[in-house]
Amino acid sequence: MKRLYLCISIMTVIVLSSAASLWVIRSGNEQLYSLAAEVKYVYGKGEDPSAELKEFCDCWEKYYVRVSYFAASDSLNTVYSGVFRLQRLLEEDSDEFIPELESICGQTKMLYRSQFPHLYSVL
Amino acid sequence: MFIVFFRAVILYFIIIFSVRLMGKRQIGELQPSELVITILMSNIATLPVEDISIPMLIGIVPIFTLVCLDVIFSHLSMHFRGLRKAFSGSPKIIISNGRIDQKVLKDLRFTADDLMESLRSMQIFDINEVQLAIVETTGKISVCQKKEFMPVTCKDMDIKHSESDPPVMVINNGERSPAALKFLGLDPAWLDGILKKERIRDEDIFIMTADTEGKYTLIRKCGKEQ
Repeated sequence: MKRLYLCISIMTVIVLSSAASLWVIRSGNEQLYSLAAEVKYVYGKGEDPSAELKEFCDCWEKYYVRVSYFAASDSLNTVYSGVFRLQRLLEEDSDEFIPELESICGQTKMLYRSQFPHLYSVL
Repeated sequence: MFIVFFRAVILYFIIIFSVRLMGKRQIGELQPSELVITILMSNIATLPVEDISIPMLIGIVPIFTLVCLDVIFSHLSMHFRGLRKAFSGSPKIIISNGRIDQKVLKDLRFTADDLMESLRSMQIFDINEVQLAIVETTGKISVCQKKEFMPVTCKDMDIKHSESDPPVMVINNGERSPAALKFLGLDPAWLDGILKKERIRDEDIFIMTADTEGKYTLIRKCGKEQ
């Protein structure tokens, strides 16, 4: 009977951890989106968004570590390379800066969707 | 490289824990559901070791999920016969009253060779000796011989004997087993007395067994023989 209770406990931990992992991605995404919006706002005003971009990159570093526990690193590394490009694009004052920022946000959104147990993703 | 090494070490302990969680039955004869889990587990465990881009949890979660489901369903199947039948199947009689049920044999996809091989492994070379044979859910065949071919027992011979447990190891490689002494209903003072009589110390004993009546067998370590 002890074995049964242990198994029920493990299953409960797995289900709760799965729910927690979704929450971690979602809250991380929301934080990234708000920081990205700030960068876009400052950039749109024609000011230097370096400080906001640094904050965005720092937030991404933390997000990467947290999400690495349950998402394949291939998908995260793709986003990571985009984050690295941002700094260079800003320095070059490239037109691709904002699309790249939006692409990063889009990819993190896709990451959340890929982790959520939709019927199509389960089957 | 280090990632693979650490993952292999962690998975080693996780798989041992998982197999222990499944219970002793797992190590012996596998039920169909247990066979499926064992095969799946061995495949899943290799994924995060081979590919470091896959998080370790992606390997651990399905292993524990499968093992826990197996334990939970095996507990449920103890209470629900239908569930037990669905998961493990049911035993089938293939020889009844000395007659082979060919239809069942065909349903089970058992050939006459398979049947004869199983009988021979039980020292039965003549099918006429079999009264009843059942294919268990594990695929093993259990056989009941006809009375005339059964070995003679003490009961048949009307021999009276006392019921006693077989001997238990009380000292293993110089180490006493208090649990074994307790099981036999003997106390450490009895053991001390025997060792004093034999003029031997615990550490010089390789194996010592004893039964409930106090009969013992003592094997000394190499080089310690008198």
